[in-house]
Amino acid sequence: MNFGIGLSGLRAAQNAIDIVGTNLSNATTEGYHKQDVDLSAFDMASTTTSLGAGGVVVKDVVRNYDALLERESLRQLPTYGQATQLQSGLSNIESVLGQVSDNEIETGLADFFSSINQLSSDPNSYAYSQEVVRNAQSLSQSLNNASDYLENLKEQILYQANQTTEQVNQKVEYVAELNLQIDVVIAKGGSPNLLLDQRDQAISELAEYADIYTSGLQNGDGQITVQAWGTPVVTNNRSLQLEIQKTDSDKFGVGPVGKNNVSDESRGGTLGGMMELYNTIIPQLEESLDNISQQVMTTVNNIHAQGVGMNGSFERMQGVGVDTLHEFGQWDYPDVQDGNLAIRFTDPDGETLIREIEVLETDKLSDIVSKINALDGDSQIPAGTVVADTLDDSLAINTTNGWKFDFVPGFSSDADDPAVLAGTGGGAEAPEVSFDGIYTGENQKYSFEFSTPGATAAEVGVTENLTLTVKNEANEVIKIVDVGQGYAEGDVIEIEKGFGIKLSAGTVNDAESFSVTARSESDTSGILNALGMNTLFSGTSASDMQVNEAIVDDPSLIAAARGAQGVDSFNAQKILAISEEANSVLGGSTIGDYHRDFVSNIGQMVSTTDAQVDAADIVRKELETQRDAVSGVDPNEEAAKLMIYSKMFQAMGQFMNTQSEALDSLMEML
Amino acid sequence: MGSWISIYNNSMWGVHKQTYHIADLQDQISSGNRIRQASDGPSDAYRILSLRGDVAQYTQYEENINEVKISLGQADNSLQQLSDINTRVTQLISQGASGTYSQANREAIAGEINELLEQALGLGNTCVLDRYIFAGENSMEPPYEATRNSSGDIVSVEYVGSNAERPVPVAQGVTLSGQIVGDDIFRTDSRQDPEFVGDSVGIKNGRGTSSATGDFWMNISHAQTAYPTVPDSGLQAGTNSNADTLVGTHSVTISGDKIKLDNGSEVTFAAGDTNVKLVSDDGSILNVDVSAGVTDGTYDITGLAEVEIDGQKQQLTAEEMASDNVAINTPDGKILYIDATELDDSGDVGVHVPGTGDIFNTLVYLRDSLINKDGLDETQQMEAIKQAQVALDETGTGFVQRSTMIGGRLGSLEKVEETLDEMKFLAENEASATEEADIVELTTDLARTQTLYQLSLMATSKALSTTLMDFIN
Repeated sequence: MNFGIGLSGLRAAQNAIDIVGTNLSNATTEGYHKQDVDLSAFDMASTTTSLGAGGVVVKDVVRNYDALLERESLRQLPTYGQATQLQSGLSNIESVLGQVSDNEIETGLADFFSSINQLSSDPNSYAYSQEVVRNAQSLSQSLNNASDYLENLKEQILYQANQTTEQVNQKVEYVAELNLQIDVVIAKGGSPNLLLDQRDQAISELAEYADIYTSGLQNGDGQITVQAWGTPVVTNNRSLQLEIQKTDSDKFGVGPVGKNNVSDESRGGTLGGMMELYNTIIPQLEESLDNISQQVMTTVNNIHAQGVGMNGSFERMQGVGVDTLHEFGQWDYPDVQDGNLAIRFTDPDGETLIREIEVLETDKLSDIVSKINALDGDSQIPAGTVVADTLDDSLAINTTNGWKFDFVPGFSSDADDPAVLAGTGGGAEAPEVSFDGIYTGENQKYSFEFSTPGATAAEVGVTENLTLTVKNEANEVIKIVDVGQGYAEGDVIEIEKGFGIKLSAGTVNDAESFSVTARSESDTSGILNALGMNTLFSGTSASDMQVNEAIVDDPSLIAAARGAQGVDSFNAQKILAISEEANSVLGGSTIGDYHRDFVSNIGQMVSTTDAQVDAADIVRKELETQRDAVSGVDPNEEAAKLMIYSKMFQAMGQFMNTQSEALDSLMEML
Repeated sequence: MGSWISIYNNSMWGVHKQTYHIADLQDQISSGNRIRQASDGPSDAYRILSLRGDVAQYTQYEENINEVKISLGQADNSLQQLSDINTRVTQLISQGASGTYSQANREAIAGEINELLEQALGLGNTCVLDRYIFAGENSMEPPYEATRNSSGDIVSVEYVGSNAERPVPVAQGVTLSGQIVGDDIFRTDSRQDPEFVGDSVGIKNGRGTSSATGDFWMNISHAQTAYPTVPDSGLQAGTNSNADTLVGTHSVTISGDKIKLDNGSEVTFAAGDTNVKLVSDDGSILNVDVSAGVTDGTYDITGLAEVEIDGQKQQLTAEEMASDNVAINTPDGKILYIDATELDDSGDVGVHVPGTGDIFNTLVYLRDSLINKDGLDETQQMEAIKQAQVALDETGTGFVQRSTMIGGRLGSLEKVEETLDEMKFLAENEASATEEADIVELTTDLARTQTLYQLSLMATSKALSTTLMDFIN
């Protein structure tokens, strides 16, 4: 008889019951893996004479661990983490920028163009002009708000990324420390199962934060490596600290502390999600908002600058502060290209003349100032009348002596062909030519040539068959008009596209000619918008877009008119037309459609991310279910084990009691 | 039975999904909207925003239409009143042109016409919504500016408004103006050659196309006498030559000590006479100086004319007197081409440019004709009044045409408005249909989800309620 057998049985049963207890007590512990005792028969031949007798020994306490499932779980977690982070960020963005019922920018655009529409019905209405200013401010504010929101969100994300990186560092340290502890326990011959569970759980949590790769987990010792975004952060019991690093392009990446040139590519985990939001999605949204703002500013300003408000032309104008150091071609925005700027001057008698300056991409503000000043003192503008200057880094133009200026495109005679205004007949009897209408075609020079019957001098409005041939810049005949008998002097001769001329009475010679430059655009370079001259908006992006302060102070400066008298609503209608025009910078969309697309895209991103989260969640849950099937604690199973080991314990007790009784009988015999 | 953690996770997962779904359904039902934010239906959100934009645009178009309708309605009303004035004046003319009316009666009619003229001017300057509707795009200023004499009576009315309308967007790509160019409404536009009435002075229409408009009076008078040097008659301007009335080319016949103008009486002169008064058979007067010695013969002598229109004078040169196309400048900056070759007398000439008259200046002309401001004889006065009648008929016809045009615009607006109403209704409907939730469907879905939720909770409860543990004693 060997008490050792009973004792081993009691010990094994006790151990097994303890394991059942451990399992039950950790039945709901996150990351806990169910354990089983691995019992093994213990040969006691050396300590007993009983043939075949032996005890039992707990060979091992086995952790129910499916390495494949665990690896797949770890592989899926970064995807899930990134998707949930994206979902959270995008839902946040959608709640501000993706509203359908009360969308601030949509309302801002609609109200702005609506008030322009209203103004076009009465460009002299101060109340309507005020309404335009108010709505332009609301539109600017809505874009400012959206831009500020995204900027704040980026700051929050960066803060959150720093916090998360701190948590990653803590987890990494913890894993390294657990590795050490595991090795110590193993060295002492103990079971590291609970430590392994803690380490697995820590690595799982790490996988939600970052894109990690592990090796050596399945070995069940402390010799593992964990890589985050390719950087080994845990090597056995050593860890590496990470930090958030900003890149030159206002992006961020995660890398080892003190090491530069980290990748800003987002790859998994909540930090990956934050990177995607910060580095890709928000910049795209910001770019879209900037596109909307810049196109509103550019298209509206380009038109607005060429009109006049209720007070007509200007004696003084100052633009916005700009970069005076660099050439226009080096500016990001606004865009200035090689072109011309036509400035219309009005003398004290109300006579107008137009002068053009050439604008080059290689110019700076100082060059424009010089070119405008060079107009002063020419054959028709008295010296000292036009003064341009740089004031607070902005262009300032002043006219004196009762002269005024504006940028209304109009008609002018070719400077090399002064006959046009003096008449073509030579002397006092020559007819004068005046212009009529608002031209809507391409800027070009039209040439006019008289043809007199019999090639002799002829009188406008008197001589039969006196004709005027009109050609465009391509030398194509636009029309031939009889300006002899039947033409009443002063009657408008419609040329084309809103352009008309009027002839006064007078005498012309055969083949005499004149030319007229007709302009629909006074600024083909974009310089007025760039310098904020007579523009409605100022700014460079959604963040700083605002209504020109001068117009806020005096809404009558809203330039609704473009005609010679300044009482029409042509300019207002041109601005209104922007709302329906395809914009090449916006991919052929109207500004409104582009914004709607922007809103829809946010919705689409949220929707896609929701689907990704759902899919990742299902995969995660499926893997979790499978893992739980392997590693989870089933109370029935544990109860059954409890019953069995309890019975085993009782049986072994009974066995020892029986042995004891046998020994007692033996002792009595003695 | 699975593991507790599995049961817990499954339960929580299911419960979470269902509660989220229930919350979403509850939000849809309470808001009444299926699409609250873009992710609820990205393409639907785009559509709803587009439709809302369309609705806002249609609403603005409707507001514009209302403004244009108010303007055009008032314009039509004013035009109707002007038409009434035209009719009343026509009645008055038929009385005034009657031979049974005395000058005093005509002056009484002129008084009424003057009042009607003031009314017409007021109608021309009709102001609606702080806009002068007949001023074209220059709506801030009264379009008709009257010049008055010292008595306050209107002597002329000038259109100072714009010649362009102000198109207002009333639908996409469609514009209509509520601002009307008064000169297009109140002035007829079918220019014909000028006609002359009044004193028979031999004036004719020139070759050129006149830009002068309407009806006005032109006074022809003697300005200066031109004595040709070839052939030299020896005649010079008499000391009383400022009393000459000669206009046009006349012949002076010298025979011995006898001299006569045209077929007038012969006058005997002495060799040293510095002023011999000659009177032609048509009453023209010429004072000549024969003291330098004269030669027998018949000579052409021209009385250069001065043309005066509303105080603006223009003296014709000898060349012009012989020209068939002389440009006479009118006070309003236009030109009247006349043929002066047969101009042979002074007097008042009424100028009527058919197809270019406006109601205001026609009334001024008529009133002045009735008053007989220029002292015409009755035949000439009747002729002038009848000429005004023609002008009134033209403007009256113009009113009917313009009224039809305005009516056409109003009709177009009605159609555009109807279409807009329909489009707005459809857009609103579609936006609502796209955005709004189907409450019946949602309620059914909610009930189903609640049932599933309860079942899920029950299943969880059942799954955890009994284990083998309960049977361990």
